[in-house]
This record gives sequence, C-alpha cells and structure tokens, in this order.
Amino acid sequence: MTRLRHMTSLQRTQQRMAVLFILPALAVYGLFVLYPLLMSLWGSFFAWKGLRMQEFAGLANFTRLFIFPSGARLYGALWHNVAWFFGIMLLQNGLGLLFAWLLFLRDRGAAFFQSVFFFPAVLSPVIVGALWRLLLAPGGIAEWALNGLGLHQGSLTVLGNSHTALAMLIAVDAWNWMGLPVLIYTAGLRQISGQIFEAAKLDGAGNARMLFSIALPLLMPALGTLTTLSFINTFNQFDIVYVMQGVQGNPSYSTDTLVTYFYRLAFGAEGAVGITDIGLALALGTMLFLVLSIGTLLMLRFFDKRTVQL
Amino acid sequence: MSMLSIHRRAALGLIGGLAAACAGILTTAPARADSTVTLWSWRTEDEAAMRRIFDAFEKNNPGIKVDIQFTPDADYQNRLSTALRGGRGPDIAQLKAYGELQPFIEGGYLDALDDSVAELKNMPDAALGGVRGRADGKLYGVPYSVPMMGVFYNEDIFSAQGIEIPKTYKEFVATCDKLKAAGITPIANGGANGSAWELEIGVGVIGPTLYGPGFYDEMMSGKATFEDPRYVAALKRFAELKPYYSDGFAGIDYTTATQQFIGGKAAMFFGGSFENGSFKSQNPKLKFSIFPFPADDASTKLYTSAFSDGSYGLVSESQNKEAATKVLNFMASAEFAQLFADELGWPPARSDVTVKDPVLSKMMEMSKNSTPYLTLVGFRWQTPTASSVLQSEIIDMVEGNVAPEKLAADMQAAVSTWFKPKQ
Repeated sequence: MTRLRHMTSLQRTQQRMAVLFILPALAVYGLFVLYPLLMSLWGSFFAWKGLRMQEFAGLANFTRLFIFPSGARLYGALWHNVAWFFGIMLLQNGLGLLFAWLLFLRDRGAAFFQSVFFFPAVLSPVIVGALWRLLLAPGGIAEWALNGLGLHQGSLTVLGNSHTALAMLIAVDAWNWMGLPVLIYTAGLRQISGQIFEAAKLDGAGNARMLFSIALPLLMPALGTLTTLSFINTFNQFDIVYVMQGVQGNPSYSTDTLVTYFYRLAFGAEGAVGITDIGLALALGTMLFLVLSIGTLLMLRFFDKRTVQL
Repeated sequence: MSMLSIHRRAALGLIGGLAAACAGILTTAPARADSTVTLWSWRTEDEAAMRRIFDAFEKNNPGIKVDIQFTPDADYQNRLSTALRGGRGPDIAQLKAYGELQPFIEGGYLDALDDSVAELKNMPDAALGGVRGRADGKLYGVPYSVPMMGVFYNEDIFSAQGIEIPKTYKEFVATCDKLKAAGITPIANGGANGSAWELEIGVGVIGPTLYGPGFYDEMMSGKATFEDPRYVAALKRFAELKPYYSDGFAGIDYTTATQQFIGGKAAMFFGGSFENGSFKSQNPKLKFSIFPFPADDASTKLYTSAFSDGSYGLVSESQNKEAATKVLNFMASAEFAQLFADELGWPPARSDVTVKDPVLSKMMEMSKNSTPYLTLVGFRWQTPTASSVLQSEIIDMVEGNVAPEKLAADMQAAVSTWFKPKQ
C-alpha cells in the first residue's frame, strides 16, 4: 500500500511537472493562435468604421458577404480557389506521382533528380513569382523560346489575359512545390516491400498496372497527406497572386483568391485605395477558417478509411 | 513631454550644469535641438529632394529636427493604420486625399488644423478639397500638391520626326501612325501586375476632352452617370488607341512603361504631374514636355483632370505637437511651395510661386483649365470605388474582352451601392 501511495504521489508530481512544462508553450499558443482567432471571430459580429470597432451588428457582416457587391467577389474568389486546388492535384500531385514512380523504377540518378525537382521549393514563392513574371513578360525568355519554336507569334501576354492568367499562376505554383510530392511519394514507395512488386511482376503486371493497382492503394496515407496539405495551401493562396498580379487579382479579378480578397477588405488597396471594411474581412476570415477546418477533417477521415493495411 | 525629450534635457542639463545652474540654462537656451519631429511619407522616390527641403527648414528652426521616414506606397497605408491603432504613429503623417483620408478622421487619429495652421486660408479650393473631413468640414492636413494629367512627350523624338504637338484627335492619331512607321512606340502604356492605376490615369488624360469640365458637377448631382455616352466615349477612345500602346500591352507594367519613355524608346506617356521629377532624376538627359490631350475640334478649350494629391497631417497622439505644428506651418508656407516646385517639379498646392522649370510652368498653365479627376475626387469615398472596378477591368477592355459599355455599367453598379447624389 505504502509503495503504491508513494508511486501515485510521484506520478502526481510528474503530472504537475508536465503541466508546468507545457504551460509556456500553451501560453504562447493561446496568445498567438487562440486569442487572435477568437478576437477576429468576435470582431466579425461588429460594424467597423475605419479602423475602430463600433456597434454590435449580429450576422450583418456574414449576410453582406453573399450579396452585391461582395457576393460576386466571394463566389469568384471561391471558384478560383477550387480551380486552384484541382489544378494543383493534377499538375503537382499527379505529375509528382508520375515522376516519383519513374525515379523509383530507375534507381540510378534518382537522388539527383529528386533534388532537381525539390530545388524550386527552396525558393520563397515571392521570388518564384517575380522570376516567372519576368520569364512570362512580353519580351521575356518564354516568349523568345515559344516564338523560336514556332509555337507562338508576337508578344506573350498570358499574364495580362483574363482567360489564361489563373492557369499560369496555378502552373507556377505547381512548379514551385513539385518537389514535395516527389519526395513524399518516393519515400512512400521505398517503404513498400520489394517482394510485393516482384510477385506482381511474376504475375505479369506491367509498370502502369503496378502503379495503379499496387503502389497507389499503398500510398494512400501519402496521398491523403498531400491532398490535405494542398487543400490548406491552395485555399490560403496569396503570395503568388500578390507578386504576379497585384492584390486585386487582375485582370478583371480573374486571379482573385479568398485571401487576396480578404487582404483588400482588411488592408485596403482595393484599386490602390486605403479604404477598409474590417467587419466584412473578419466575416470572410471566419468563413475561411470554417471551410478549412471542416474540409481538412473530412479529408483526413476520407483517407483514413481508405488506407490499406497489409 | 516624451521620455525621449526628458532624457535629452537631462543630458543637456548635465553638460550645462558643469558651468552654470541647470534650471536657468534649460529655460533660456534658445538653440538646442530638443525636438525631433518624425514624419512618414510614401514618396520614396522624392527622398533626396524632401531631405533638402527640410534641411532648409532646420537651418531656420534650430530647435527642431525633422526625421523623415519612407515606406513604399504599396505598404504605406497599411503601416500607418497599424501604427496609429497601436499608438505608435509618427508626429506628422503623409495622408492620402478624399475618401482614403476619412477613416483616419473618423477614428480620431488626426487633429483638425483650421486654427493652428493659418496659412491654409491661402490655399486654393482644389487643394483643400482633398483634406476636408466629410462629417465636420474641418481641414485635417496641409496639402502639398495639385497635380494634373497630360501627355508627356519626348521633344527630341518629336523634332527628329518633324512632329508638332497635335491640335486635334485626328492629328494625334496621325502622329501615332507616323511614329509607328518610324519604328518608335508611340505611347508607352501598360498596367499589368497591379499597376492598373496608371491606366486609370490614361482615362483621366483623355476624359475631360470628351466629357467636358461640367461633367463632374453633373455626376455629383446625379444628372449623369458613368453610363453616360460621354464617359463611355472616353473609355472607348482609351481602348481605341491600343495599336499605339507598348508592344504586349496586357503584360507591360507601369515600371516597364515608364522605362520605355525615359529610355527614349517610346515617344509619349500618359501621366500625372508627379512624373516630372522622377523622369528627370532617372534620366537627366531626357528632353521632354507635356501637352493636354487634344479634342476632336481644334477650337475646343482643353481641360485636364486635377486633384489634391495628399497632405501632411498632425497625429493626435503625438507627444510633440508644438514642434510638429511649426513644421506643418512651414509646409503650408509660400516658402515650402517654392522649394517644393524647385525640388520636385510638380505643381505645389499654392500658386504664389515663381516657376523656373519649363515643364512645370506648362503644367501650371494647363491646370488653369482643370476639372476634378472624376474617379478619384468623386468616387473613391467608399468601397467598391469606381477606381477598383475600372482598374480591374480596363486591361480586358483594351484587349477587347470587355465592352466599354459593360465596364461603365459595372462602375455605375458598384458606386450605386453607396453614392448618393447631392440635389
């Protein structure tokens, strides 16, 4: 009995110590994550004038989000984020899987190519955006190369064209982070026991069959992680638009995203103008937070269920 | 009194105390630099000139030092609002005009200057319109410039090609054709990558020659809207000149366009007065001047868009108001206006100056026939502003993807959400 009591008192001290050790981190988390989050949620229920919180407005900011003139911006930006997400899934995670598979099949030089793919991820999206803006500008290298190959004529204005600008930005973003799926998929593929592939080969499966019927189901955790990350990143997309098209998502709001719209509402710059609508911005921020949290939870569950255990 | 000046006084006191009684010296010594007035500005390109202007002030006011801090335009408004909210703003802040100024007034961050800066009474209405509080009609800033808009042109290219300043729109187009045939870009223009405000200025250059000087009042009283054929005609004309704009217009940004003009690759540039100083400082050899955009008929009196560019205001929470007010009084004086005109080369807020720069004198001549810069003076009071719609859709309009009528209708729909005409 005494020994047991002794143990529990020791455990209790340990527990208390543990709480003590967690406290600083918890305080930092509370101060810099929970507090601003709750404050912005609180602020979204108020009318704002200029920079100051005025009277309680209930859900007025939230309803205002969906009606003219904000509604058009919200739906436009939301659609661009959705398009961005699917674009990234296809261009970045899809091609990434393909590259990883090719590297896996041909082991020699894999490490080298892996670093080649990963290189752009070392650069800040701001640098990547500025770089591609220069490359894609009229009179830039892309124009010169395309004209030289006879694929294009005249000056290249893809970034100034509201039909092509968004696709260009998505492609640049995919280029920037291509290394990540390659890295994660290769790691995932290496973890799969080689015997499985050998057995499949003996059964007469080709490379494509092995990728889709064997590797892909086993890569489900990696795919889940990448999809969730891509979801969060694309819905928070800001920097590439900001650097390449400005905070209005020009031309004609064709590259506007939820966060660039948020930025304009919160910090002005709508038409180079410093008039803010902080109430609306906070309502949008709250919405975005909900969309991201719920979406992420659903995705994690979806992929958890589909994970194949051997 | 701020901690800073207490420390300064204490330090001075210690030094002085070796020789005499501290108190006596501290209250009588006239020539101590005991006040540093911080001043924030977004005009990074004017840094050297502003420094020289305030050197002149400091020489005459030995007790006051002016510490000018610059933040690039794109981040300025954001930085200032954040600083003011946190109570860490400057003593004097450069302020945007009209609607962009109001949030600071409504938030109570600025002091009205009607009583403390007497010289404001000597400033023209075009300058003061931009600094007036909408609710109380008081003046919250000392305006520094009333810029206007026109067509900058390269004098060397014009004379080499034997081109005169066009008198009619037809002549203007003929001029462009001639330049194009000679392999020179007629008009450096572009607003990609978030610099579409430059294209809005282009409309401000062309507009008054088509809608005339009375149009602003008609818009304000609700007699006319953006869908008025006269305004749509201005948009159309801006789009119609596309063949003469920089190659790859939709992908060219403001910086590239100005470089084309400054580098002598393009013959003309639609711009505001503020380009004068920066063009000169970037290429002192460039010979250029400005003319108002021509109308269809040579006999039409040519009007130009003008506006109050901004002002300098006194931050309410400043610990240094006495010295800051002195600085503001200097900025409202004829002496400052003269220095401003000489150093920066754009029209100062006061007209009682002697102008030496030929381009500036042309601009001051042009600004005699001016009408308010419609989208800024009239329609940038609340979001969505006319400018925000214009700036986002105008590239598509020039490229032919959006009809001028559609753009005009979108502008009208946007401002209708908040704009109430004055009867």
